[in-house]
Amino acid sequence: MQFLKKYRITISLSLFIALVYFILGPVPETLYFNAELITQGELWRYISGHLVHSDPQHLLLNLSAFIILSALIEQHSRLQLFAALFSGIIFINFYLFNNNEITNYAGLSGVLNSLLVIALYQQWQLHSKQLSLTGYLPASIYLISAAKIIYELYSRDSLFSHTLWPSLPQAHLAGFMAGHIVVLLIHSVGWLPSGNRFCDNLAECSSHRFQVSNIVIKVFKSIRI
Amino acid sequence: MISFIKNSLLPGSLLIFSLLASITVHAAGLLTPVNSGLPELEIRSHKVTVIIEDGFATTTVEQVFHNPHQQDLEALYSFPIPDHAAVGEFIFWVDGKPVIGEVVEKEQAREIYQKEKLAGHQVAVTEQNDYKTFEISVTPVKAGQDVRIKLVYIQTTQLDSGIGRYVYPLEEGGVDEQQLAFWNNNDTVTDQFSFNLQIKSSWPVKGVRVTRQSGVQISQQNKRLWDVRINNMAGTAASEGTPVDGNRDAKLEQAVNDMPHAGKLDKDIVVYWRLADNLPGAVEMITYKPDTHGRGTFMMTLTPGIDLKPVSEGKDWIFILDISGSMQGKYQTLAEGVKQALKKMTAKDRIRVILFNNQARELTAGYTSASRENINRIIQKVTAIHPDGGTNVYDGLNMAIKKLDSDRTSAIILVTDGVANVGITEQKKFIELLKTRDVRLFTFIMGNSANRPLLENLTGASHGFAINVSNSDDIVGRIMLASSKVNFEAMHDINIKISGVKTTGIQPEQPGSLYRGEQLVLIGHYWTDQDRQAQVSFNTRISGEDKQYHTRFIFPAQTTEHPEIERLWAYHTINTLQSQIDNYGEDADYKDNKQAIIDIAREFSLVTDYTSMIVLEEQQFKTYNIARNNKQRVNTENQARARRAQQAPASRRVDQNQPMFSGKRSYVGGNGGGALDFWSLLLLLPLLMFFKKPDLQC
Repeated sequence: MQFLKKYRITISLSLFIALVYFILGPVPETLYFNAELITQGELWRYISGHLVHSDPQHLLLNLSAFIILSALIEQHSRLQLFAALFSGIIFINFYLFNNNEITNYAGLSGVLNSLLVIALYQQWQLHSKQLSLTGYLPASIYLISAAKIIYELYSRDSLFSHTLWPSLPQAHLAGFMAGHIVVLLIHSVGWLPSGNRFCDNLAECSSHRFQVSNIVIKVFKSIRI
Repeated sequence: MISFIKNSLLPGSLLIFSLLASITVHAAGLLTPVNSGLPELEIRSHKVTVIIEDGFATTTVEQVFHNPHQQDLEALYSFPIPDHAAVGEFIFWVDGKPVIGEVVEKEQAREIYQKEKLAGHQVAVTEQNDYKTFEISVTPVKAGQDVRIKLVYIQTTQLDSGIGRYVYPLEEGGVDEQQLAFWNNNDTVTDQFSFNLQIKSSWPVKGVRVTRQSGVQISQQNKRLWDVRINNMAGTAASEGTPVDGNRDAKLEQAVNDMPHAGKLDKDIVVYWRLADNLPGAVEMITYKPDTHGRGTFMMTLTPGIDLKPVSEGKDWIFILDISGSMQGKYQTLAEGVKQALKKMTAKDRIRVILFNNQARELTAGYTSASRENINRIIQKVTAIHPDGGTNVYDGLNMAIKKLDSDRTSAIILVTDGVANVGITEQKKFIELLKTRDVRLFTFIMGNSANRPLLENLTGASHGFAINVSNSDDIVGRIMLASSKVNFEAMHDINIKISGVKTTGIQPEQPGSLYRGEQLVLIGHYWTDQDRQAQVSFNTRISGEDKQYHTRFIFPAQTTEHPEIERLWAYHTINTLQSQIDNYGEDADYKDNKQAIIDIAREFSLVTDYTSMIVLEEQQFKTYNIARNNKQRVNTENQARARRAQQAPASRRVDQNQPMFSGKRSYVGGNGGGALDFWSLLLLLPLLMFFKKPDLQC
């Protein structure tokens, strides 16, 4: 039960994504992203487009990666998970709204890139001082991921992925950039304590929750500056 | 950034367009023989009215020629043949009264014209010059006086990926060197130039766009009714924002600029309209059957709503580029198109580029991978070429076909104006060459005087498609359109069955293939003396799998709304007959085709390679024993147009009760997905070691 509670956002979202696929099938017409239909009032597509998939492989790979990355972030901060999700969605949608070549979009992997950056940042904060594999792992994964995105953009194609709806490297880049914006935010407002723990007792948790409300204030202040 | 665009990009673009304009000297206009010493006539006014509705466009061109000199002259006006245009109405004002022309055989028309000219009578004739131009001759244009003529043509307007495209061709292709050397061309309108186009769409229209024109006014009356106006009168563009029918409540959608049109007939007018997204696949039909017991004509438009899957495996792309002299005015457009197309290649693709003028040669040394370096290198080389020489299309095609790699899927992209004049030029030889290998040929047909019949027959024979490109086109849009087709599954071996109602003469006889976003238009005859329901089946093969789609709807026993589709049927039937002659020669099987074309052209009053339309003083028709069939037909068509003008755009969908397709129609742009791959997932697995113990949860 504690496990379910601890990862409730990750589990709920994963179940939702899987159920949408198994009940409504691949890329339901009412849910994929379409800028024209969003402007006509179908606002749910703004988010739902990122939660639907075109084929079983598309679903399986995206969902597996989501479970790992989302749980990794959620164990430390639910707020950061939401920040990663929504910043990814906003950046990718901004790209899609300004791109004439892609009318319809579906899939989670753009957003996964946003989660990836934040998850790696968290682990880097926690383990960067360790002179071991764990210390170097986040930076290594980051560099490989960045190289893959650059290659995909350069070659105008996905490196390995061949799903029915062709992969869109630009969406991966948008998600990747969104993750960096959240990281900058985290760093600038001191959202995360550095060290090897986040909050492991009630007092610290309370303090952390309090800190969350302070973050919002700090963000607004920084914007005004 | 904005200042950079203003300071650098805009002037740069304008310079490029100015250069393009200066290169392109061939245009519609009045012709005068070079060095003849004959003075030039003036084009006093040039008014164009276009109505696009129910799947076809009706274009009316009214012109006044003026003779400012002291001697009577003859006017010869030449203009490029519009795409698949059926010229069925030609009017010449004789003594101030409009006289409708009649169709006779070409030689007879020339004979009558010469006789009437010598007799000092007023006479005018419209002729077709092969696939290149229509030519109107009028005599006499009396000293100091005007003559007025009107020409009406109709053409089907198919939508492609939800985008309609109408071209009013003015830019002459420059493909006929003898003609260019013989004539001087006057393409300036001295008084009034106006172009009014109205779109009456049965589906909601999202936007309308006109490229590379000044003095453009676009207005929207409602979602289905749009107007485009262009004219050369300073200041009137803004004041004429009111739609054609004078509805003052209309919303002014776009005043592109206040600069008046130059009044030069040297640049095509290209109008695009885009339907709303997410419309369903549908079957639409219009009919004409004035007599319950007689023959009816139908025009059925099928817009598939079929989910065609993207094709992701790498392909071999062979570009065959025309660098002959006739491409000079179009080469910048070709280079830009190739550049855009190459940028769409993926790393899995391979490219080969072949150039041809008098003979073919390879630009690339065989196949090369579509890496960015290779693409940039090819673009540089292609851009640096200066076109000259003749056009040996066959040699280029032959070189491409000889070196196909049978282990990979290959596609040939032929970019040309298609005027084959060196080496093998017989169409049937081309067809034989293509049939030696299983390869798809896609052609980009450049300019208005291209040999469209040849290129369309070639692509048809290889189950590819042809895309027309004007210098005034949005080249990126045309490339996107082509790209959205070749990267998706296509429907092949299409077969349409209509049962329950007797039908005959359906065109096209073999629909062949349909690519993503394309519509299929069928025109044929039917017989029924009462409203009768028919079952229509659409059978096709997609990725080797047979698919069938069905619907049922009524064929009416009597309807008088669209008499024009009789001429459209005749036009498409003539095209089929001509293709058979061109593909196989006038051998035993097709020896009667020429006579059949003449018979159909005379029955339905159409200008063809073998028939012309002549206008005489009214009493002279009797002298030459020419029946006034076309006069009657034109009156019928005008009455129907007048009735339709009073009506709001109507839905022509016939399968709403039993939709043939359950999906939505395809659009340019297509689908994209956020897709992770297996290796990326593996990369994430080490992160599992970072999971904390449960007690660390906050």
